[in-house]
Amino acid sequence: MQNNLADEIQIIPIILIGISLLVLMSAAIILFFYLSRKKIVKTELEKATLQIQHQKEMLQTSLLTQEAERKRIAQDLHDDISSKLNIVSLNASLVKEEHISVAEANALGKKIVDITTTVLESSRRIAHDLLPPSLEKFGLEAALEELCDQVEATRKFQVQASFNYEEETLPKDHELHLFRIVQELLNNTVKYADAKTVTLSLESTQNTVHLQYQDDGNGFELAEGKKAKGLGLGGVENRAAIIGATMTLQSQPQNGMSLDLVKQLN
Amino acid sequence: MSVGDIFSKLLIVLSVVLAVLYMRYFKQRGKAYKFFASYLVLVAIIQIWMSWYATYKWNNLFLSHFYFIGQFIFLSLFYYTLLQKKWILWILGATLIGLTLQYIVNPEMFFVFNTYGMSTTQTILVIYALLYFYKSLTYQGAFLYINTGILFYLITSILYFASFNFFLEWDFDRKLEDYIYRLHQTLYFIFEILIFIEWYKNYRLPRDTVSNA
Repeated sequence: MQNNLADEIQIIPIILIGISLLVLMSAAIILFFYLSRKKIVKTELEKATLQIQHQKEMLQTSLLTQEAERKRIAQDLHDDISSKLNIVSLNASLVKEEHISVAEANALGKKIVDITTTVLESSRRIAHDLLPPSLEKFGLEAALEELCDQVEATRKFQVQASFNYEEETLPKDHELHLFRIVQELLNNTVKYADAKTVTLSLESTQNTVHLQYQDDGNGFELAEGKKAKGLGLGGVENRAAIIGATMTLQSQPQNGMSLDLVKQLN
Repeated sequence: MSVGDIFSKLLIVLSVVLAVLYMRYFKQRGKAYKFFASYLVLVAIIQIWMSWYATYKWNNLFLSHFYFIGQFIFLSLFYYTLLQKKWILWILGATLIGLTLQYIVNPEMFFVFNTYGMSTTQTILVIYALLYFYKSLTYQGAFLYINTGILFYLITSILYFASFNFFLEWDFDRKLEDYIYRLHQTLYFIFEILIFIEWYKNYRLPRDTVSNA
């Protein structure tokens, strides 16, 4: 009985302490779980917010680009089509008048034919600008070659192009994005760079498609260029993101600019 | 009737209330919910049965085997549904075979408290609860209150159940033994409260608020 009592005195507190420690331990585990979870959820939330913000920016840039494009098309239609068709309409009304001589009618008719030819040419050019037929018919390489020829024809700078692209390595819509990127870069060089030479290369291997563009023009501060990306570089960045390519842009004032775009396949 | 006795009765009443609450809209719920609700029904039945036997001073110790084996089966299936790991079923099967062998080899075991069986099954369930916590770290998991309750109660009661035979065999001063008994009851009360909170927050309305649970 003496022994029992002694054991009891020792064991009961040990069990009580043990249970208390287990209570503490489980409380610590539960607390650790909830705190970790809170932290993880917070980080995830921040990540998601950043992503949404980036998407919003992309969307805004897309909308701005779209609006600018619409404005340009509207301007082209107004300047090159509507105004000339007005003249055609005016001349056609004159032909209908009774007191007009045959010579005058012939002259008017010739004028109408001339203007109509110009209008047709303009509408063909506008359509070509919207979606180059060479891209559809002959592929990306041919379309880029044609684009380079057109730019070189302006004699503003020389284009050194090298293409080694296996047709249909990329889906058609991605090819159009690449074409638009080059178009935008050339536009920027024409408008702002005052460059002498542009180097352009497009290569495809089994695993990658690699586009390199470089001009030796005025260049710009990257921060400023990105701020003003509303129409130009923002669109380029968007298209690169859409096709899932990584884009590296480098530029310094008076040191030209270069863009490196790599699309991993599969 | 002492305060302690009233508290004991309250715990039994609460376990019946919880079983009834969880049986509402039982059919509309997912598998995990159904397994847990079945566990609550089992607990309620055993609690009533035990207190009925206790009233007549009959030995109700054999019911503890149904309690811990039933608890292990239902909660294993509950965690199997939540964790989607086939090995949980293998462990369930292996443990049940082990326990059956234990009862075959030692049939007297049925009339004493199975401390090893109880501790082993509770430890396994605690591991499942920890794994479920880990799984729920990155997404809004269901049954988090219940899981908290299971982890809390099962860890803390392991030592109590492990020393149960010891209390029965030794003639202790009732007062000291009572402390441990009341402490265990308090922990069980916290568990029941957490189960109630889970029901109140997520399952008191007929529509299933958690689609995969």
